[in-house]
Amino acid sequence: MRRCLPFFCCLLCSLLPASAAAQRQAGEAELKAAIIVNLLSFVDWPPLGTQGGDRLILCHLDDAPVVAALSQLEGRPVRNRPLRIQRVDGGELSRCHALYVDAGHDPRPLALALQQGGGSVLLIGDAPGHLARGAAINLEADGGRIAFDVDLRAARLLGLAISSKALRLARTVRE
Amino acid sequence: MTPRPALRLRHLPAAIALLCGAALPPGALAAMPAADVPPLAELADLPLADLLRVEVRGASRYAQPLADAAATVTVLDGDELRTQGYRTLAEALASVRGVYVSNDRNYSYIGVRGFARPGDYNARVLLLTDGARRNDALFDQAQIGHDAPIELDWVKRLEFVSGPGSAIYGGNALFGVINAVMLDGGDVNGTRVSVDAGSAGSRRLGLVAGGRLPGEREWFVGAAVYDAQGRDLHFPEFAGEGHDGWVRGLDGEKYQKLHGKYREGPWRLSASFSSRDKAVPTAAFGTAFGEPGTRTLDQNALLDLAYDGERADGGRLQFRLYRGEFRYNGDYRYSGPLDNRDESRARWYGAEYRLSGRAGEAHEWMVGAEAQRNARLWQRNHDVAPAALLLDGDHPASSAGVFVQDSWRFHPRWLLNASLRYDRHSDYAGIASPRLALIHQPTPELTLKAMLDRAYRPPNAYERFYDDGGVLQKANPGLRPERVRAAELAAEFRLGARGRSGISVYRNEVRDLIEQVTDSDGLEVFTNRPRVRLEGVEVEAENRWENGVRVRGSLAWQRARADDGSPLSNAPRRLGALVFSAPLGGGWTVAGQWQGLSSRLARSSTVGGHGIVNLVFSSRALPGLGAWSVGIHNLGDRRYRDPVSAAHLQDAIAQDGREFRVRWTLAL
Repeated sequence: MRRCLPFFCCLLCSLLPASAAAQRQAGEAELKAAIIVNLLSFVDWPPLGTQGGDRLILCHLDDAPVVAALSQLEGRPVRNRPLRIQRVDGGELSRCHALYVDAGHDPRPLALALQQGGGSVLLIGDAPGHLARGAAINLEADGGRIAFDVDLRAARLLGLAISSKALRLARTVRE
Repeated sequence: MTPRPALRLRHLPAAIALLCGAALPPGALAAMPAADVPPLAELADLPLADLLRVEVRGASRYAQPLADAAATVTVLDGDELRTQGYRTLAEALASVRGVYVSNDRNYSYIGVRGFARPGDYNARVLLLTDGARRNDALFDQAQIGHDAPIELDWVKRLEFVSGPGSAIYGGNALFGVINAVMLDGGDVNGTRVSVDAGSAGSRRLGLVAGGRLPGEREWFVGAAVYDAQGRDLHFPEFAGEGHDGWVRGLDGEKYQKLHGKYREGPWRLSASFSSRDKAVPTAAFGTAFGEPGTRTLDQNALLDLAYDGERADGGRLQFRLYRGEFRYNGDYRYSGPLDNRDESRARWYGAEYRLSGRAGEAHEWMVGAEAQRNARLWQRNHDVAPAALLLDGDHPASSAGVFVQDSWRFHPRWLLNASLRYDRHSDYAGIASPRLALIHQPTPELTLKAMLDRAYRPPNAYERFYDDGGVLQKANPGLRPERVRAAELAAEFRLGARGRSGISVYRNEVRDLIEQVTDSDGLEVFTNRPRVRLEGVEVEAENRWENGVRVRGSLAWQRARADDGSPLSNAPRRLGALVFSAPLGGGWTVAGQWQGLSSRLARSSTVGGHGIVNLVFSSRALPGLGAWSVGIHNLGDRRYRDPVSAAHLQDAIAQDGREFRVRWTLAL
């Protein structure tokens, strides 16, 4: 086996020039914001939704670092509609396409309100317990990167469909 | 004295560096920064798959799986490994709760939860790199010093799982599992050269290169060469009889290591080789004091083909085929004309298979099987002049195991983890290792765990068959496997998004402990001892603040007793560690550790407690200047000693005083 090592190494070295871009790093909030906006393009809302048709509205509750980053992405086209970031209080969720729930909030009462006819709003959680508490998508740091988990049942209950392209990239998918 | 393969390999890393340099157009790599921070808009343009690969700066390491783990786990992430300037696995592990490391100026020995037996070459701890077993097949040795099969520079994340892991990993995983997650090509994306210099004339040259290729392919190469003159040492035990007790110029060490990895989709092929040559200055095994020529050579090689892929039904299939080799040569120079040579060769191959998936909402299951054939477990000992063959024996063996695990979330806040493994060794009856863990999360912040384990370890070929012809050590082929029963209660509490604290209470009971004792005829022999009990409490807390400051601290109280109630040697009653780092501005970080142990029993005396402080200043890559790391090990120049095995006349051996280290890393 030892005899093969130099050969093996030369083989690997010969691949060197093809190396790609440098390793990327980013702030956690910025990275999460980019992932959230990216994920929105994999979601299908029911055609007769309650939301405004010309814009894609991503809501949030309080201000949080991720919200600050999301605000910088306002206006970007998502599924051919400009992204709009709006702050809401608990009661006026129906005009949102998606709601970002920061770690300081519990998505469960929001999910229950939505299931009782509050509208098709994608709840995006940002804390380890959020998926179990009603979020359809939850972001979490894992091994120095951001991973997302999906609860398909929570999404389906609200009439939302998440593309299999995104599901393939999810860390776990609950059905 | 050094066999030829080592000589040949000494030049290999340099040759590779040259080759790599020649293969590159000069401007291609110069344009590559070590890490870039794309603006948000650019980040948002990346495809989702790429976003998920971007590393978080200052990430919280506490992903949910840690809370769900059926064990107590300490994770040292890449940031910590870099900023703390750890040079070996031993140095990094010494910062883990309940872990301490001793050294006899040849090997580093890990103590876990009060258990560190003299003459034990880390056979009770399992070392994994990228999931591959690295303990050799003959001594079962987990090498963690400069003799380790890998460089810490190639490790992305280091995990230490406290407690028995036999229910999944079989033998060796008796007191803990060291899991080194190695860098992937995509983590490097370029080429890095590092140069080290330090006290005791130590020098090191390291190369790390890797990248991602189209079509889910990645490659990685790491190479390192090291040599050190070592220190002049004073052993008062040898003063008199015409000596002043000083050993000068006999503490040299050198190593060469190479590691390569290529991944294509779910397939991964990796190969590694390491060779370490150490002069032994301690006159161990009764060798002549102060005379050159007593030295050991350890070489490890592994070729590993692994598959890790998703199945269409959402399950996961993992398997691996591997072949490993270990060789050890010991040259022992005795007074007068007598030279003795000790040789061991091991060659093994094996296969592992794991299938995991979900059953309904609540069950996550895993089944697995493993088989290893130790085709060669050869030991030889002979006197060179006058020639006399004292030992020449090969005892091939094989082992196989099957295991099953179910993780059952029977309630949103309750998880029951049950696993059972059955192992069979060619020389022993089958043995079962069960594990049961109940995990409760009463609130999102609090996790409570209760764990029960049984683990075992069959004696290795060294313990059973080594015999130097009635000089120092004799064989005991009738050794039985040793068994451990462990119970642990643990609580973990999250402190905000970036902190956590934890407490563990454990009790381990070892039966038929395999231990080296001196027999009535004066010879050392491994034998099964009656029961040994280890009990203790560990607390740990860590936090990282928004401003980049991070602190991790742990304290452990432990008690290790033999069946008659007498305390075990090399088992401090208290140990603690504090690890901190803080950004200084201008790209610099200050980091450091305090490690303290209370007094320990050596063979015939008590070794005093000690506390040492290490301090490291490191910079990120400065434009045009590379990255720097300047460290002082044992800042206070504390004099302390570690208890050592009966192979030494010394009861305990003095450890290094203050030591300076500099590392310069340049991204090409």
